[in-house]
Amino acid sequence: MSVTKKDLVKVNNLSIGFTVEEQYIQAVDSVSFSLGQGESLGLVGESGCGKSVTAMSILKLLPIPPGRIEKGSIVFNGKNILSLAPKELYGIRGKEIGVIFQEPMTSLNPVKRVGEQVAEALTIHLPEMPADKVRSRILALFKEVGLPNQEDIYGMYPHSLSGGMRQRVVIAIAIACNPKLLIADEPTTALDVTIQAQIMELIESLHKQYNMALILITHNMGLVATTCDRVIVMYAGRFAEVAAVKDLFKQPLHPYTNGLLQSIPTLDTKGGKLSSIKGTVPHPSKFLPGCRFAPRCPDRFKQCDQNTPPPLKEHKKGHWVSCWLY
Amino acid sequence: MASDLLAVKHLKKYFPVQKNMFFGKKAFIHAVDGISFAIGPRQTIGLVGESGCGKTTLGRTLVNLEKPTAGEIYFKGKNTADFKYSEWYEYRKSVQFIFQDPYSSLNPRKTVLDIVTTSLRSSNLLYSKKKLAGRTEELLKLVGLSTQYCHHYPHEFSGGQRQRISIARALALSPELLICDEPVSALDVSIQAQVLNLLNGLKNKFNLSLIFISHDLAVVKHVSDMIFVMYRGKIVEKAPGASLFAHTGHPYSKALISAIPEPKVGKSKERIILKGDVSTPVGEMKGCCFQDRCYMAQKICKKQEPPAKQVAKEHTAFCHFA
Amino acid sequence: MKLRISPLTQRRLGRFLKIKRAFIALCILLGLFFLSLFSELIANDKPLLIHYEGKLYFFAAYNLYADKEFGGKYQTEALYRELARSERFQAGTGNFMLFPLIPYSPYTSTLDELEGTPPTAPDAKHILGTDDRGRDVFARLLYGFRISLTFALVLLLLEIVIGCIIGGLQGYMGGKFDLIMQRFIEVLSALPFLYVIILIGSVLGQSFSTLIIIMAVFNWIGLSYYIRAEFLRLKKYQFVDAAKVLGVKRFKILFSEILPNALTPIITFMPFSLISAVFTLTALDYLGFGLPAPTPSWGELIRQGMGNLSSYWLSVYPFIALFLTLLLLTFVGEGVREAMDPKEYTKME
Repeated sequence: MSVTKKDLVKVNNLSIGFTVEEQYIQAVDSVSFSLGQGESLGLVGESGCGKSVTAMSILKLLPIPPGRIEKGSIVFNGKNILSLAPKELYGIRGKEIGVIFQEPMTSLNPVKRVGEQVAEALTIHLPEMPADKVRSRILALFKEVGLPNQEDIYGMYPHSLSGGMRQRVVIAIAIACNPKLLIADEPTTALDVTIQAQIMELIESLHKQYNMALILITHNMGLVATTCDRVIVMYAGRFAEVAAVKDLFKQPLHPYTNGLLQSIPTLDTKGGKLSSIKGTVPHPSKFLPGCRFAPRCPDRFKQCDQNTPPPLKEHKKGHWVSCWLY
Repeated sequence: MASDLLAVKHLKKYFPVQKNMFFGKKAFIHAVDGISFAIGPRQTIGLVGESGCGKTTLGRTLVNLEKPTAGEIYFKGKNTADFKYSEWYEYRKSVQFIFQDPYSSLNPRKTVLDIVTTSLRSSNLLYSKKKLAGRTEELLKLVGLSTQYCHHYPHEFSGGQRQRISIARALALSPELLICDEPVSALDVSIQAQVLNLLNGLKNKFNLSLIFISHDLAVVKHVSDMIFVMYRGKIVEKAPGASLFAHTGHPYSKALISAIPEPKVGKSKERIILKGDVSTPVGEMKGCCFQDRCYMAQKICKKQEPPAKQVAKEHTAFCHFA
Repeated sequence: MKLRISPLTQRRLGRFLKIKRAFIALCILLGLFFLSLFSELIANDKPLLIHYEGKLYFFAAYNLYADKEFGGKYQTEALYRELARSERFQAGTGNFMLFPLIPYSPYTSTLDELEGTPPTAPDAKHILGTDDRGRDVFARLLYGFRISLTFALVLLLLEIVIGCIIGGLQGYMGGKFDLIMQRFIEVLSALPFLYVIILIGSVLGQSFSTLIIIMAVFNWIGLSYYIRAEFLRLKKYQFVDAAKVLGVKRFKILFSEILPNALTPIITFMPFSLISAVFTLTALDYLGFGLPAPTPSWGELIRQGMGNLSSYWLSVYPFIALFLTLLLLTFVGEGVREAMDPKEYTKME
C-alpha cells in the first residue's frame, strides 16, 4: 500500500494466536497495513474478529502467554516494536501512543482521585516536570477535553463522575503527553447516543488540532463514516477490505462489507425485511480452509471453499480487497 | 377502552435511595414517572431513550417484575391490581418478555429443551415428556434453529442463537404481547438484522403485539408503528414512526435523531450536540424534565410542565415550543 | 432419554482426571473405603468358612450360627475362636474353620492367647501389636478408618443440606430474614463447640448420632456463607427474572434454577470439609468426648499411646493412618479446586 505521507505505523504480515483451553486459536492471520502521520483509520468488524488484538499489538499490549505473535513485524515511528526491551516499550506506551479503552468504568482506578491518575500518566514520562506545572497542565487538559469546574474534578473519585465525564478523563490521560498516535478501542460503546456524539466530536477535534494519527476500533459503521479517512474491514482475523471511507460506503467490494452495510437499519429504510447475512460468525477454533466468510457468502463459488483468498489486491486506486471475486 | 390489549394509566415506579448515610430525607429515583399509553392487538410500540430513562423499568413493571408505585395496568380492560391467581396465570401466558442479555438470561445448567419448556412445565397443565420434546422441536423450527440442538447447553451457542432460544422460550405459551427489552443491542451487527427479521416474521405470523425497547432509534423505527421517546421517566414525544422523523416536535428527539452516526458519507446533516449528561431522576422536578440540557430552554420551561401538543396526526410532543 | 453431562462439567471432569496426583489419591481413598465396608471379612474373629461334620457354613460374620449347631449347649451365637480350639471340634475328621486374614475383631480381647501383658509389641500374630486391653491394633485401625470416613460423609451430607437451605434462603430472600439469620449464625458460632459437646454428651450420653447432630449444627455455617454469596450473585442474573416471568414458582426457582449454578463452592468445599471432620473426630476421641468407649477409633488409640509411652505402636500407627488419610484428602481437594478454577498465568511486557 502506498501512502504518500511518512508512515508512522507499518505492520507487516502479522499473525497472532492464543492458546485457550488447550486449543490454539489464530486471532489475527497475516495482516499488513500502514498508517501515515495525522491520518485517521477505522478498524471495523464484529466481536472476536481480531480488531482489538491487531491494534493493541502496536503497543505489544497482549497477554503473552496465552497469546503468541507467530510472525510478522510492527514498526512504529522507525522502531521495531516486537524486538524492543520492556523498558523501551514503557517509554512508548502512554507517551507516543495514547489509548482510550472501551469501559470508562474499569479503565480508571476507583480508589484514586482522577487528578492524580492524570498526573501519574504525565510524570511517568516527564519526571522532571515541577509539581505546580503538572497541576496547571492537568487543569488545562481537563479544559481541553471539555470538563467543567476543572479544579473540583481534579480532586474527585471516578465513581462520582458520569460515564461521559469519565471517558473525558480517560481521553485526558491518553493525550497528556501529546502522543503521535491515539488508539480508541470502542470509545463510545458503553455510552449513550447523545454522549457518544459529544465524545466523538471531542476525539475528532483533538485528532485534527494536534495532528495525531487515530486508530478507531469500532463495530459501528456510522462512526467510521463520520470520523475516519480510511477503513479496514476485518472478518475472522483477516482483512477483508481496505479503502478510503468515501469509496467504501459508495461502493463496497467485499461481499461481507456489502452485507454488513445492507443489514444496518437506518433512518431512511422503510420497515419490512432487512437484508441480512445468513449464519453466524464462526468460532476461531472452527475456521474452515478457504475463505472464512465463504459459508455465509451469497456470491461464493468453488474457489472460495478450497483456497485461502488472495492477499489484498488493489482493485481501484486506494481500494484494496481480499476476495476471489476480484 | 375494551379493545386495548394492555393499557397503562399514570404508571409510576420510584426506587428509594438514601441521600445521606445516616440522616437526611429519603429520596426517590423517579424511574417511571406517570406514564400512560395503550397498545392494541397487532400493534408495535417502540420505546426509545437513553440509559436511565426508565424504559427498561417500564417494561419490567408491565410483566410484574417490579411492583408499580402508583398507577394502574389494565389487561383486556381488567385492572391487574384486582387479579386473582388464575388471572395472573392467564396474564403470564399472554404477556411475555425477551431479555437484553442473551448470555445471562439463559440458565447455563439447563438444556435447550428445559429452557424452552420452562413455562410449560410450570403451568397447571401436565405435559408428557414426548409432548414437551415435540413442542420444543416445533418452537426451535419456528425461530430458525435446528431441532438437533434440543439437548445442548446455552454456552454452546452464539449470541444470536441464544437470543433465538430466548424468543422460543417466550413463545412457548403462545403469548399475545411480547415485550422485548433491547433484544438486539448485545448482538453483532450482522446478527441484529437476522433477529429483527425473525421478530417481524413472528409478529405477522402470530398476530403479536410488540413493545420494543431500545436505545437505537434506527432499530426502533424499523420495527415500530408508534414510537415513544422517553426522558427521565417521562414520555416526551409520541408519534407514528414516519411522522417522528418528518415533523420532530421535541428538542430531545431532534438531538437524538441528529446524534445517530449514519453509515453514509457525504450527507452532512445538522448535528445537535447536547450539553451535559443524562442525570439520574432523583426527586421531583419542577417544569420540563429536559430543561437542563435543552438548547432552547426558556424561563417557562423551569416553571411549567409542558402540555401535550398535537404536532401532526396521532403525533404529540410534550414541549412548550412544539 | 440418555443422560447428557454438560460439556462444562465434562471439561472439569477431564481436567480433574488429568491431575494425576488427585486422581490417584481419589482412587486409593475410594478403594480403601470400599474395602473397609467389608472389614468384617478382613479382620474378624468369625470365620469365613466352617466345615463341621460334613456341613459347610459360610460367612459367619453375616449369618448367625447358634452354638447348638456345632454341638454346643446354647442357642446363642457360637464363640468361634473357642470352638475352634475345643476338643469336640478338633476330634471330628475334616472339621476346619477358615478365618479372615486378621483373625481378630476390633473388640476381641485375646488376653488368654497373649504372651506377656498387653499392650504387646507387633509380632507375627498381631502385625501392629495389641492395645492395652489386648485388642489387635490393625483391626482397630481398619474399623476406625471406616467409622471416621462414614462419620465424615454423613456429617458432610447434613452440612450440605442445612447449609444450602439456610444459605440459599438467606441469599435469595435477603432483607429481614437474612439479617435475622445472620445474627443467629453469629450467636451460634460464638457458642463454645467443645463445651456444648461435653454438656450434651453427659446429658444424653455419647453416641454416634448425637455427636453427628451436634457437629452438624455447628458445621453448616461455613458452607452457608458460600451458598449465601452465590445466591446473592445469581439472583441478579436475568435467567432468574426470566423464570419469574414464565411463572415458575418461588421454591422451584430457588432449587431448580439457582442451586445447580451454586454447586461449585460445594464441590470444592467437600474434600476440605471431610478433612476437618476426620480430624475433629480424632481429636474428640483423643480427648474422650467422641464416640462411646468400645468403638474402635484412632483418637482413642493415640490416647492409649499417651498412657503407654513406651509402646510406640499405639501412637505411631494411628498417627500414620491419620496422616495418610488427610494427605490423600488434601490431594483430592487440591485437584478439585484446580479442575474447577484453572488459572492461566499471563505476563504483560
